[in-house]
Formats: sequence, C-alpha cells, structure tokens
Amino acid sequence: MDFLGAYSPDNLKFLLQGFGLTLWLALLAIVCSFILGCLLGVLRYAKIPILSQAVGLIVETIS
Amino acid sequence: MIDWTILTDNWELYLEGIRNTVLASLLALVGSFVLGIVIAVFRIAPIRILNVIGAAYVEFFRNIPLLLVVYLFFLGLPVLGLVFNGFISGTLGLMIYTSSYIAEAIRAGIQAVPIGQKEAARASGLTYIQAMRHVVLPQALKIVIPPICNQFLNLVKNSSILGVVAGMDLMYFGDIVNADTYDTVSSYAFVSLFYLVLTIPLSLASRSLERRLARSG
Amino acid sequence: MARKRIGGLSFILATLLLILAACSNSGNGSGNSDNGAAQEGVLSEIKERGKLVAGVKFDTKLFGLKDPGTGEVEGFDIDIAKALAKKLFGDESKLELKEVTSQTRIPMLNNGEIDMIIATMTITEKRKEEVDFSDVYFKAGQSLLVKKGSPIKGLEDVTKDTKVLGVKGATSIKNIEDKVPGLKVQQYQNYQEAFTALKAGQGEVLTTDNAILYGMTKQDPNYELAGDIFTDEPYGIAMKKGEQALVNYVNDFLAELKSSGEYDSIYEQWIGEKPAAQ
Repeated sequence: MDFLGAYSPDNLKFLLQGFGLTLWLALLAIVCSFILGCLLGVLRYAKIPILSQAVGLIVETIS
Repeated sequence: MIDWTILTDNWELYLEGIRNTVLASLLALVGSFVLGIVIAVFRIAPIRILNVIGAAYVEFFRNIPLLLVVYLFFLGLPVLGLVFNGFISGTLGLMIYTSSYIAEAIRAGIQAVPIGQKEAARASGLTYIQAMRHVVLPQALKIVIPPICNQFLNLVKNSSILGVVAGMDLMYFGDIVNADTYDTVSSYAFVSLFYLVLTIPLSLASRSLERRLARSG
Repeated sequence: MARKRIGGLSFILATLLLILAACSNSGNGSGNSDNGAAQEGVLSEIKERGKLVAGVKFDTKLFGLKDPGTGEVEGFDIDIAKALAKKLFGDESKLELKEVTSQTRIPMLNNGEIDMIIATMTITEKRKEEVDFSDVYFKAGQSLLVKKGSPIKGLEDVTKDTKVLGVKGATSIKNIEDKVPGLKVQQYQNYQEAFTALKAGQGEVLTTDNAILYGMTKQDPNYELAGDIFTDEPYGIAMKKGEQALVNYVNDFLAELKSSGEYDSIYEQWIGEKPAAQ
C-alpha cells in the first residue's frame, strides 16, 4: 500500500467517498439555503412588527 | 447559561487572539487589495500572456477551499524548504484567496465603465497606464466599492482559518479556552461577541460609504 | 428612515444582551436535577438500547485508528470497548464507535451522544470535576517525539523558544508548559494534524503520551522518541458525572478482564510486550 502512497486504490476509494459526501452536502446546502433565504428575505421585507426585526438581527449577525 | 468568569479569567488569551485576528485581517486586507488591482489589470491588459496568468490565478484560487489555499503555504511550501508558521501561512493564504475575489470585482467594475471613457483618454494622448490610473480606475472604484466591502467582511470572518493551523487568532484561543474550561457555550459565546465587535462597525461603515458614494454619483 | 431601523436593531440587541447577562452564573444547575432522579440512568439506557456507544479516537495508531482501506477502527481502546460490549450483551458487535478528539470528547459525553469515553484519556483532578472515571486501564507517561537526528535528546533540551506541538485539550499541554516556564505550545485539532505539522517542519518536537507517540513512530520511522517519560498519564474510561451504577459496572468489568488474563493478551497484541506488574 505504501508504494503508491496517497494514490493507492484504498486511499483513492476513501477520498472518493469524501468527494461524494461533499457533492451531497453542497447540493443539500444549496437547495435548503435558497429556500430558507427566500423565506427570510420575504419575512424581513414584509415588515411584520417584531418578527421582521428579529430576522433582520439574525441575518445581520450571521452574515 | 453564560459564565462571565471565563472571560475575566482568560482575558489575556482572548486579547492576544483579537490582536492577531485584527493584525491578520489588516495585513490580508491591504495585501489582497493591492494584489487584486494588479491581477485585475492583468486580466484586461492588451497583453495576451498577462490575461492568461490573471485568469489562471483567479480561477484557481477562487475555486478551491480557503483551507486548501492556506495548506499550500503551511504544508506545501515546507516541501520546497520554506517554512512559514501558522500565522504567516494563514495570513498569506487569506490574502491570496481574497485577492482573487477582489480581482474579479475590480475587473467587473472596470468593464462597467463605458468604453468611451478609455477611448477618449487614449485619444487625448494619455498612455494606457495613465488612462487607467486617472480616468478608468477612479470611475470603476465607485462601482466596485460595495462588493469589495463585502469581501472584506468575509475576510475578517475567514480569518478564523488561522485557528486550524495554530495561527494564535481569536478562534484558536476560543478552542483553547473551551478545552481548558469545558464550558463550550461560554467560551464560544465570547468569541462570537468579539467577532461581532469587529464586523458590525465594518458593515455599518461600508453601508455609510456606499450611501455617500451613491449621493456624489 | 435608516436611523429608525438601526435603532430598532440596537434595541433588540441590547435586550438580548441583558437576557444573556441575567442568565449568567446559573451554571449547570438545570442539567443535573434531571439526572439525580434515576441512578441507574445511563447503564439501564445502554441495556435497553441493546448497543454500547463508545467515543474513541480514530486518528491514533495503536489505540484508535480508522483504516482507510477497510473503514474499520482498530486499537487497544477499541478492543477494551468490544470486551465491554461482550460483557453487557454477550456479543462484541453490539457496539457503536463514534469519533472523538481530546477537544470534543467531554462535550459529546455530557450531551449524551456517547455513553462513555475510551480514548487515551488521562485521569486528572480537574477532569474529575467534570466526569467520573473508572479505574486505571492503561499507564502511559508523557514524552517527546522528534525527527531522527534532532539535537533534542530529552526534556532538558526543550527551552521556552523551542517550537513544541501538541493537541488542544490534552493534559500534555499544561504539563510541559509547567515544566518549561514561558513555553507556548502550538496546538492542533488532533494528533494527525499535529504530526503532519511536525513532518512539515512547523515544529521541532511533538509532545503527548508515549503510547501515542510510539504509534506515530510506527507510521513514520523517521521519527523517534526522545528522553524518558516525565509525567504519569494513567488512562481511565470517562462516564457522565453521577452515574455510579455505570462506574461500578465498568470497574467490575476491568477487574474481570485483568484477572482472566484477557487484559494481558490485548495489551501484548497492541503494545508488543507484557504490561508491567500492576
């Protein structure tokens, strides 16, 4: 196994599993953040008395 | 819920962390801005080889994770014999990474300036460099300030990457305080507090800057 | 208009800060009152669940290392966990291993993600305030790891300017900083990262328990231990504070393991020699 070092079949398989997880995470995050972002954006600009400001505070803090 | 003695007992650690975060952010900020301008000019210069270098630089550093860019300096350079410690590697990585975003923002700004401006400047006898410096770049900067301020805000938050390579920044000391006191909530609550102290003024300042630029039109 | 919005946000921010300040120093009071009721607590939970969930290292050769090829975690700590699962359920596969690092293990124990920590964890007075320990199940000592041929031959060669690497949350940090006044250890997230940094030349010496260092020399023979051990690091299994029934069960298990000779064979399998007389 050490002959090929990081490029050995075992390690490549390991890396590919990680790659798969990265793709899956990215897809999940893109979809969910888009939906959540639209929701929060609308909430903020609908100017509901306390909710909008709370959402605004969270958004400003996290970003 | 939050134990304030954790802050008072460990204030020297937090202070050193804040100091290094501010230092790294400032250094990376100035460096990435300068580098960003250079690479942007490369990309739009009429010299083909510079275009290619600029494009390769931007595409490479914008599309890999910040941690990998930092590892390039932290683990990669030592292979060539150059060992930079965590702080320097982290700051350099942060600088190079952010500069690619800034280069793109500046390039978009320059290309948004009506082509007539550059043509008129060249026609008036200015060299390419003079045209850029006195006519095109000042107008481009106005368009480019909002995205650049946004990138600087990201830079301050991204500086937390130093925590992973023992860069002695705020996040690093947050981890250490957490490890020493076992009070996860409090240690990181203070870390967040200090990051907010750094980012909120920055974001307020950038918003007032944008407003002032919009007015002067 | 903008001023009104900033005013509104500031008001909410101020209110939140006041609430946080008021909550301060409530400490862990609310957490413990629930546990006090059921002393059988975690032990009966484990038995009901039918599976032991143990926090182990995935990055430490000889004690807990995940083999990238097979995906299996192997090591001394793992074998101890398997033996415990066998005692609990008669089947050593009724075991779930979760990865922990020196930094994450206590939070994960306290929020219930794992039933116990079997992860090269040294018993210290300070940690006893946070968790309960079993009897000692391994005796290690702190030592130094250097590149072969390094001028550092032992603790006496370490000055406050030496670049020393360690892992966040490990007892070895405080120990060496106490022994070498003025020293600041560069701390990394886990042992693999610290070892990678050492190999890249980011430091001259890595310090932690000799057992862990020994595993690193197996991974890269260019590195060797320097000097004698300079502290005692007795390992214990950590469990949630107040779970007396569980602690007693585990101590009985360890006593059985030692008297049956199984402990010696596990020890020899990983460390390569018989354990010193207890």
